[in-house]
Amino acid sequence: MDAFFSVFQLNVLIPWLLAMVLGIFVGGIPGLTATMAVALIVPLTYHMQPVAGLAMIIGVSFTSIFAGDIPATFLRVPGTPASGAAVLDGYQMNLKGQGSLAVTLDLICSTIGGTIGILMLILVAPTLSRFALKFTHFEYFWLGVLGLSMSAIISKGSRLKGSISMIIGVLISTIGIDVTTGYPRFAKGNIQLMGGIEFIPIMIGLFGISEVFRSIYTMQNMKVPVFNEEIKVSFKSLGKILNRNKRLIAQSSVIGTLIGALPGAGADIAAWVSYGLAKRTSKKPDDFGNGSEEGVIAPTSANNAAIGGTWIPALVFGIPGDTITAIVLGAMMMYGLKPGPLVFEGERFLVNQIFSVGLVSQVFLLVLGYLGIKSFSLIFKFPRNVILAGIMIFSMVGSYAIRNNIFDVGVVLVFGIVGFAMERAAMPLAPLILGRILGPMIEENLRIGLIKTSGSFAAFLNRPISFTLFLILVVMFLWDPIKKIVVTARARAKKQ
Amino acid sequence: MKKTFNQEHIIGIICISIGTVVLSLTRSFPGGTGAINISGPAFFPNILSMILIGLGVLQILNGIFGKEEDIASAAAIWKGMKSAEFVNLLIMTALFIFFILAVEFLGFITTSAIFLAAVNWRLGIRLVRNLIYTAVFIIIIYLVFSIIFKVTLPRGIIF
Repeated sequence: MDAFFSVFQLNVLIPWLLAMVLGIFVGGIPGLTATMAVALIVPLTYHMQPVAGLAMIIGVSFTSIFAGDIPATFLRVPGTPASGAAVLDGYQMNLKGQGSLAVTLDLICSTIGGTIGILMLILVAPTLSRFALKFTHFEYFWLGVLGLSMSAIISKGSRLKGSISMIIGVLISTIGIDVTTGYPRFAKGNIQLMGGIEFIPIMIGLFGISEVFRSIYTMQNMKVPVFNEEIKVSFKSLGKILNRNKRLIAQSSVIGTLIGALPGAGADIAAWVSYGLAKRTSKKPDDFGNGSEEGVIAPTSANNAAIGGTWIPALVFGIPGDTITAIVLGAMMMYGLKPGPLVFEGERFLVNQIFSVGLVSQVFLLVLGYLGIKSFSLIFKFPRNVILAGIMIFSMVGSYAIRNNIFDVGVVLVFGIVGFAMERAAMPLAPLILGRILGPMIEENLRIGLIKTSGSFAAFLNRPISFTLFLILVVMFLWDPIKKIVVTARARAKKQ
Repeated sequence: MKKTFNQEHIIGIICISIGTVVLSLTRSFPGGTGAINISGPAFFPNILSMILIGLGVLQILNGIFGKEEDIASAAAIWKGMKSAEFVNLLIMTALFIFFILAVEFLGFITTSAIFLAAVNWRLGIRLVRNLIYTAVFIIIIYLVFSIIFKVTLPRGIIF
């Protein structure tokens, strides 16, 4: 309990809260990521006590990942990569006049997801870490393929078009220097292309700028505010929604934590996989993509839960789960701490402080997140034409800021046009993003796995976890035909 | 059976074209003569382009044998596009390109000011408001990106 109360000292509390407020703005501005905020914060923590620095980092992670869902819901521009999946139904809810409900649902689910992630970190960190470390190239390959298979599920409309969009996304991920051989692929001597095409500008272009183009193209409702509702929280209706989706919240939070615990797979992959699984297990899968509350609940619970997950391998083994925990590990060493199994023995008090910070951050997230929604909703009361101009300039500067590279602004434009054209041809956009995110993971693990086995694919199937992942994949593909057969057989039996 | 040229055909042709271009480009990769060389840089793109070509063929077949109600005509892509609206899109694209080309020469502040003022004007914002919004956006962006996040925004001949 001492550890719990110690985090409420003013010299911890004040920087922690300030960092969380910063996180709201970082998450809400496209192009600024939680990693950038953490990188900005770390130098400020040199002279602080370790718990204050770690509280700032944990706090900013939670608020920025949540706040990324705010522009995703109101403007169809994901504030952070982890909010890509939240765009799909959040924005549709906003178009239906349920934007207020969508963001408050986001906030509550982010808080619940974050709490479950931290509780799992507290309760099962060593067990989960041991499990996560059993993942080798073979398992990561299947995990990536499993993630890709979600594209068929998340596609609105034709699955064939969804698969095409996904393969194009994976192909885009092969542009640039090949990590295995160092050969520059499809670069044609262009230094910018050698560095590959970042997925954040692709995402901003496909979702955000294509939407700007669509609005400019129609030039309708230009003087009307983007968001004209009052942010109201009806605890009764929220309670009802949460109650009927409690299984989904738990499912998405657990999946989010598990995926977060896998080094290299972060909150963005967690959100997409949870969204796909939610659609797969939903009684109303056709509502997904049309403003389904389940489509909002699943990714927003998972992306915040993944934050707790990323801390599991970081604390237990000193292996970063994502870019943020990679910076955290560096910071911990700077504080004179050695992350790894011994940290639970030698630094038990600090570990308990970290757990306390994680849990208390959820309460702060609820309050600050609500204030963040209120503030952003005021900005979105400006007429659409003003907001459109703002989205354009923020998207451009935000994309530039990722690598200080004007090439990325060009990527935003190209994918804005591609997204606009794809939507006119009823091609789903989300699988392209998923393909771009998962492509490198699949390629790298497939090739290294094959090199290890001298070209034999057997090792991808004869290991327990990889075989289980393969089986899940098969079941997912056969789910619909089997369901159809069962339904037809039942109907026949009833008739007879 | 549909004989008219439809959207499925266009998408199918684009897929086959992309797949073919990728396959022809990977021929120049070291050891990139086929999908057999597992350690070669062409291995994965070759597999993907073959899948894409396959999907393209399926898409074309879908355009021929698919259900009539599921298939949109090729003209539907351009349906409802009026020339004035199309001009709007072209102007916005041109402004984007202007920003990309000019920002490293004119600097972030000058280029953004020109870009924003032109976008605002095109979106129907009146002169005084246009100038105010332009100034406010630039100040916010400069504060957030340059001052707080230490992003080095391009500095040109003026700013």
